[in-house]
Amino acid sequence: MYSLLENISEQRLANIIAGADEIQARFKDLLRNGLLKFAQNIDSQTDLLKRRLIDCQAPGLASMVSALTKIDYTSDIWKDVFVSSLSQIYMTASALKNIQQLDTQWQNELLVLAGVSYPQHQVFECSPVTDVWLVLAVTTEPFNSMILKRTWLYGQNSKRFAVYVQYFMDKSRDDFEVQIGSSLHSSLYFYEGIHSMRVLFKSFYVTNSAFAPQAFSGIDFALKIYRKALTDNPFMQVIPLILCDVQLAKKDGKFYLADFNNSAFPLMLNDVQKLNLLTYTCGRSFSCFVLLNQFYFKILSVWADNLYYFLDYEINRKNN
Amino acid sequence: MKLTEKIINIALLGTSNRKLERVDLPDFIQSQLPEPSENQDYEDYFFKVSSLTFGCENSGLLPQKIDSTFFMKPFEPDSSPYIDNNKISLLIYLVDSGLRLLLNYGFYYLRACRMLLPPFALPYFVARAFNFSDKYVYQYRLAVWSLIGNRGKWLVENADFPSEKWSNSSHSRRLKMFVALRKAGLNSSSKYLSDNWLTLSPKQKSDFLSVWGRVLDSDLDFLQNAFDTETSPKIKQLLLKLLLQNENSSIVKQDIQFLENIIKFDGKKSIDFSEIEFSEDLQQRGLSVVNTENNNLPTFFERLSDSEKLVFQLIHRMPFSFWQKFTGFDAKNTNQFLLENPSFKFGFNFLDVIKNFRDKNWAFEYCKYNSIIYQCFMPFLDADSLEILSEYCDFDFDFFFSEKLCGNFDNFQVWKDNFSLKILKFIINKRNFSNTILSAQFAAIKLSANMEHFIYVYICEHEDNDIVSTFFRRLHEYRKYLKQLTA
Repeated sequence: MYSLLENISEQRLANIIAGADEIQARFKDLLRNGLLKFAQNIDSQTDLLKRRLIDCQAPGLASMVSALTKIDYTSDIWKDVFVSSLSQIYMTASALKNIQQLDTQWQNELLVLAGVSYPQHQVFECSPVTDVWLVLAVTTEPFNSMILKRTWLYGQNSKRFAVYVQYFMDKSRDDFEVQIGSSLHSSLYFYEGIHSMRVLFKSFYVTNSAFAPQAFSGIDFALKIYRKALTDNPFMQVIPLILCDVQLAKKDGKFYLADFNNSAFPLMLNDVQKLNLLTYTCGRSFSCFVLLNQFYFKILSVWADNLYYFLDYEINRKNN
Repeated sequence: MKLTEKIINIALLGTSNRKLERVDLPDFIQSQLPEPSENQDYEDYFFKVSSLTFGCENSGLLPQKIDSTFFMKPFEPDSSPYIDNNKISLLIYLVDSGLRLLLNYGFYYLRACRMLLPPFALPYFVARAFNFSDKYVYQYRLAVWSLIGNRGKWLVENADFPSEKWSNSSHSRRLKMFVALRKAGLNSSSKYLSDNWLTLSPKQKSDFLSVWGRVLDSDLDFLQNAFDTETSPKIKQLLLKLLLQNENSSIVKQDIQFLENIIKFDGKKSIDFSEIEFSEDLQQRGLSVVNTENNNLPTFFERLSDSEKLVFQLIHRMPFSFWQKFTGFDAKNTNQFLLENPSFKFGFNFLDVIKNFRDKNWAFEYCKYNSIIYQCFMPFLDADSLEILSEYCDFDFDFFFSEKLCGNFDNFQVWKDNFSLKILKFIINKRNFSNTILSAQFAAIKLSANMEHFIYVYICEHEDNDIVSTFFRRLHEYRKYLKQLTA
């Protein structure tokens, strides 16, 4: 197995450990005084730490800290999400400091979390998975001064999820623009890791063979898959899944994803996603591509009325 | 209390004075983590406990069980056809560009075609119907409502948009809602006011009455009741002014009856009035023998006798139908009679009366007689009348159409060829607009379809950037949009 630890410079490892030290010291200090003040000034409080972590060559850790600013502090579960996220970042930092004691597989997981990348040639040495891949969703977000773009894919025969990650300074440099709901034929090279989904590819072509992916029925089943994945790799932040025969449920202004056995789990939706989801499903059952975490489901796309809709498009014309 | 809740509470408030009791921890966590010694870093220990606890919670994550009250009832499917993608793209462009008049026309046209916004467009248009930073939000909402179908209405019901009821809205918001309802000609507008009219301050009442617009027959009961019970002279005067705009109001009917008893006509030219004494009854109907700040009577009024003062006011309250019945003449001769009769020579202003009643027949005769098309009559003169008048009438206005005037027109009826050409030539000569973007939209909607060649030739011959050329280029562009919308 390729060891990231053996292949990064000592200086970089020292910098990353220094970054982990910084996180621990800062978080302990905040905990002593109460995390509430931290939450109330989250943007200014995290800014310096993020820059410090970038300087420590740990962009992954910086990204984890940055995610604290994206928590919805108006929701009624913000405290759970906040404290849980902080604890996870702290434990990642602790684990990094003990990295020499871990086996290669966990060393690699932690260094990837910290932001160390596998060299491309190393990824291309793995056996690719050749398949027709459905483009499920595309998400973009600001990352430091760049754009981070994730293209979510699903293999027709392999039934695997894959995510292609890109970083660029501006949109004009995006060399992989594909239509959501389209299918591509490609051989994808998966990064090493436990339930790793990140991929690279050398080439692809668009096919006309749109297909319906395998979907699972039931919220209980979805959470069972989640629990299993977390057992295998507790550092996983989201688990992707395709669900069918689900419905929107609502009570006291909160939305849930529910099945026909009346099992439900909270949904996280922004205003655009909420309007789109309500419009396309209209109280009826549907299938969807979701990302699961311990607090909520996040629906990225739905199949409804034999059409495929990406929830973050304000207008879904192109997909009709 | 769940263990995670205890951890969260301590974490948020701080560990300097609070510690997690070891007995609160489950056995398997206690077995994983030895009790912290006095010298041990408590915060480090706390984070470990926190991570373990959340991790345990994660590994036993189960769904919630819900009951049937959580589920939303599905909507009734729509059967009307959907608006095509090209028109949707154009409507979106009109929204984003703030071309409000063109957008209103587009909605009006598509509503008449009984078409609906397709599902993918609904979130965009529905979200804007609740954008309170837009001062026309309620007009927009009313206009788009009939295009959203059952799916859109289901969306509005379930999307938890800000709850707005008349009863719990601020005065400024109610005013905006009221303006939108009045423009849409909805009968419910006066009902909303009548429910809490008595609790409104004089300023609030004045605000609502000032934006009333046309007085419909369905408004009369409310207005009359408010007039009868009002104590503020200023508000009473505003109510009176509205009641006098509709010849079916009881005040106007009483005035007609009163005047019929005191006016005599010899069938040719001569009119006589019997002497009138000022009475409480006349006073209650808002007539006065004194010029006050509320009744706005002309300055020469003071030189008249009391009887003359009362006759003066009554004449100005009479609709055209009264004069036609009184004289027995047709419309043309009735108008001529009024404008030439010596009894009405001095100080009488029939232009204001026509404007008050928005009487298009009288307006037509008045314009024809004077060979002038009056700007104040434009909102209610129909296309056929304007076409006839355009043969020999000039305009009395200096600039092409204010926002107030553009918003006051009764309908989207298109002008005919001669009048349209006259308007375009007027624009070229006067070179004066209140707002070229708004004026160009308005002209694009109202001008005859046969003006394309004239507009195009003007643009080709005038490539400069003066105000008229800019107007014509905009006009041309907007007419292309309208053509796309109505294709």
